[in-house]
Parts: sequence; C-alpha cells; structure tokens
Amino acid sequence: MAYAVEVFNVSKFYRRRSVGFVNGMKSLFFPELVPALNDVSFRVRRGEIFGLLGPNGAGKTTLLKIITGLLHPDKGRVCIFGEDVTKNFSKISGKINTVFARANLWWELTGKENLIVYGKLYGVRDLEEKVEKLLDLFGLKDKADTYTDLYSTGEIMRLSLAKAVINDPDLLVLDEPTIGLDPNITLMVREFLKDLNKNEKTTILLSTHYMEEADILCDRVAMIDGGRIIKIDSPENFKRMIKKQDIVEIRVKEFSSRLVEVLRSEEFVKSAYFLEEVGRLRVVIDDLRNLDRLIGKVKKFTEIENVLTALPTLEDVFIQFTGKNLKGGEV
Amino acid sequence: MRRFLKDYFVLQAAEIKKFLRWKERLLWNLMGSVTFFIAFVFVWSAVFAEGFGGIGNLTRETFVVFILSGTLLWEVIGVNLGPVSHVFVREKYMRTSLYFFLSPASRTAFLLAKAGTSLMQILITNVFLISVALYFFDFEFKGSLLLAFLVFTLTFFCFYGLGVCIAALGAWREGIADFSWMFSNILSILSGVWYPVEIFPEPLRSVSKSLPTTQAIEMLRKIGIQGSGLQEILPELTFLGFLTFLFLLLGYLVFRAVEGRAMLIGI
Repeated sequence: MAYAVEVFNVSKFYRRRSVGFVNGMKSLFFPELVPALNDVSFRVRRGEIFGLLGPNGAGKTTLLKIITGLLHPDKGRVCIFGEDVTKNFSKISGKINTVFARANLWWELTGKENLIVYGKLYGVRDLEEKVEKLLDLFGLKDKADTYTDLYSTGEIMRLSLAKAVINDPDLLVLDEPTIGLDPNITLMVREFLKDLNKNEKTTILLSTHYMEEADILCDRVAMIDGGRIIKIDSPENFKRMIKKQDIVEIRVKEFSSRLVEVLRSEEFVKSAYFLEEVGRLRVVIDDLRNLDRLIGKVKKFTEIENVLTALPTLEDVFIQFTGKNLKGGEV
Repeated sequence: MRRFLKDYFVLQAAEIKKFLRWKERLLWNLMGSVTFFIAFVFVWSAVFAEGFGGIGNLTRETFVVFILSGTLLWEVIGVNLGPVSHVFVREKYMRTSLYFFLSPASRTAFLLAKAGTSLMQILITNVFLISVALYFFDFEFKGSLLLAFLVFTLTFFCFYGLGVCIAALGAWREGIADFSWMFSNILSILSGVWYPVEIFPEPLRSVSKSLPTTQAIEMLRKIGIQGSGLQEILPELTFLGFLTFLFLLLGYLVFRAVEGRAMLIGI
C-alpha cells in the first residue's frame, strides 16, 4: 500500500444556527446548509510530510476530523492504509495518533499520568521507560507530576505531542501544531517533526496557516480555501511558479490602507499587502523595471526607509491562486 | 473481552485519580447527606415528642431507620442525576473526550469507569452515614442486608442510565447543572425521602407512588422496618429490575446515538 491517506471526493456541510428565538426555531427545522468541504480529493504517500495550508475557516480542521474518523463525511470516503475510516476505524485507530489545537488532555491528571493512561489504552510496551524518555525529549521532566491545567500553552502542546507519539504511530495527524506557541518552542516542535519523519518514517499530515511552517516541513502542500483544494505541489514547485515575477518589500514610515488600494489598482502590480509583523509593504510586480514607478507611487503617500527585493514565499503563491492572504484578507 | 477488561481497569484507575484531585467534593457530599439525616431525625423526634402517632412506616420506634433508608437511597439517586451528568458534560465541554474517542479504547469501558467512580463516592458517603447513625442513635434494621444491597445496586444502575441520558443530551454545562438540580429536587420532594408520601393529597400521592424513586425507597423501608423478605417485595423488585434494564439500555443507546450525531454534525 503506497498511500497512507486517500481522500475521495469528500464533501461536508454544516447547519448554520441562527440567533434569537424565531430565527433559532426556523434554523432548527429548516437549517441552512453551509459547505465546509466541497469535493475534496488527494492522496498522502507513506513516509511523506503533507501539509494543508489555508486561512482560518478554510476547512482544514474539518478535513482532519474526517480523516481521523471523528466526523463522518456527507459525501465521499477516506481510507487510511487502505481501510475505510468510517467503516473500519477500529482496524486503524492503533496505527494513528493526533494533536488537535482545540482538544485537551485530562486536566485533573498530571502530565505523566496522562501519558501512562494513553500509553496503556494504546497497548504500549515498556511504558514506564517510554514515558520517561518522552518527558525528557520534550523537556517536561520537571513538570511530570504537575496537573496539566497548570501547564502553559507551550507545555500543553509538547505534552500533546508526547501523547501523539506514544504508540509510535504510522500516521501522525496534527491540526495547527504550533499555533500560539513561542518562537523557540515552535522551532523545537518543527525540528522534532522533521526528525520523526526522517528517523521513524512516520507519515505526517498537518494543517497550518503559517506559510513558513509548510515551507520548512512539508514535502507536498495542498492549498485549501473555502472548502476546496486549490492546488497540490511541493513548496519548491509552487515558488517556481511565480519566479517570473519580482517581489519588492518596502519599509515605509507610515502605513495607510489607501496606499495599498492605489497600488493594487496599478496594472504592473500583481498583489500588494502590508506585513504587520515586520512593518513592510510586500508588492509583487511583473517586472523589476517598474520599480521606479512603484517607488514614485509610494512616495506620494509616505517616506520610504528602505527597499529590498525578496524571494517568493508560499503566501505569494496562495495570494496568486486565491486573491487572499493566509489571514483570510483580500489582497 | 480481555481488551475490554484491560481498558476498564486503566480508565477506572484514571477516573478515581481524577475524582481525588478535589477530595473536598467527597467531604461536601458527605456533610450534605449527614446534615439532612440529622436535621430530619431532630424534626421527627420533636414531632413524636408532641404526641404524634405516626403514619405508615414512620413511627416513634422506626423513624430513624425510616429517615436513614431514605437518605441512603437518595444518595444513590442524587449522585447519578447530578454529579454524574456533570462529569460527562464536562468531558464534552472541556474537549477532553476528543482524544479518548480517537484512541482504540472501549467506549463501554469509559461509561463503566465513570459508573465505578460514582459508586465509590456513594459507598464512602453511605458507610459514613451508617456509622454516624449507629454511633448517635438506637435503631434496628430488621430485614436482610443482602436484599437491601440488591435494591441499592439496582437503583444505582437504574439512575446511572438516566444520568447518562441527561448528560448525553445536554449540550452545555450550565444547562445540565440547572436541569439536573431542578429535576433531582422535584424528585426528592415527591419521593418521600425524609417524610412519608401519605402526607400528600391524593392526586400527588398517586404520582409519587408511581415514581421509581419512591418505589425503591419504600422497598428499602419495607426490608428495614417490617423485615420483608424477597417474596414480599418481589413485584416492586421486578419492576425496579425492569426499569434498571430499560434505563441502562436507554442510556447506552442515547450515548451511542449522540456520539453518532456528533460524528455527523461535530461536537
């Protein structure tokens, strides 16, 4: 079996609930169905790291819930290692493990107790030794006997990851594994996942809205937006697609949304958006020969501190395909 | 079966640890039961001191056993309708059940482990209550303790099934807390836990007599006060057994149906 995960034409609809008594009752009896996933198909090869990249609300978590058997699709089917997840979940549940951003471990138990309980439920051998090793690996030895509701967000994520690898899964499913984490813990998590994939040949399926995460970790990426798969390819191939265009980052003294609007209306500008975290305007233009025109336009609004040319990122690719950035905003 | 038993023992140990995280819960529960028991013993001794002749099983000689039987059995019912429901809804609300449902562990073992913890809580409270009663008051339990234990066990599983139903259907914690508090209070008033149901007006008495809570409490009183044996309580015991089967089955089916629904529309 060459594929770890096979998703065939999966669709999923949610019922939209209205607020207020009259609208609430109306939506109870005549629910409005909102598509969360629309005819999604893809395959994840054994031993690869496959990423679902898309903004919040794109359908990533719903898709992962369907893949792990937590939700049933309205249409289509999912197979893991050749077994239909909906029909034969018990056959594959011991081979997979998960981390979900909004799920919790038992918070009335300590970190160590949580690992021991899950280890026993997964039938892990030499459990004591394995738990000690994992606590050590994730830097949680000092917190082993602390109740998990006293853990920080980073510690909970590390413990969840320890739980997720306790059974040496063949497939690891991760929903936004670095969301809300400090940069150093984020790096540690990414390193761990890379090593796990390389050394244990674990197939990893993860969702993220951080383009650098998908870029660094994934062998292949599926761009997802509005419940549809936009395109699947390797990060390198994606970036090669926009190599023909030029990307310029301009640090400006004052940001104005009007400036971004004006730039977007220019025919030589492919996309323009403001990178809040670094305080720069990122503009994709069709040719570097138009740089002077671009600078002239910007100078009409604000002073320029510096101008850099930049390499394409997956976010640029995502914008090109969807017209939106990974935060979901129009670009 | 081996797998199921293994899962059950793992989950049971975890559930007990989770419960003991807040040991004071046990103390408050214990104090609640003992306070009600002592308060009603004082109330009825004052009433009998004023020359009241008694009603049904409640007499000057038997009132301690009367109140004790009601309080012991109410502990069995109340814990299942209140705290057990809360425990399940909290698992949903805190999203701690998500990882469990993705594991290969048995769902039935999960349900039984929660029942085991609730049973432990009830046994501790009731043993303490009996000790208090034996130390402070003179009373005689006439019937078979084994038969009384059978009534306890059936009542426990009967109301555990009902508790699981309430918990499975409840979507949010506050709603369940309010509903189960109100539901168990109404039942405690109607079931004659601390007074005889004969004091009710006729229509209300008929309602009360038809409740499984009243039947279980009256059965225990028949055993303890009149010394009734299996033959005498067989019709009520059979009915309670039937209800236990029904509510347990209903609890399991509702739990699985809600789990199935959650898989269609999300938790």
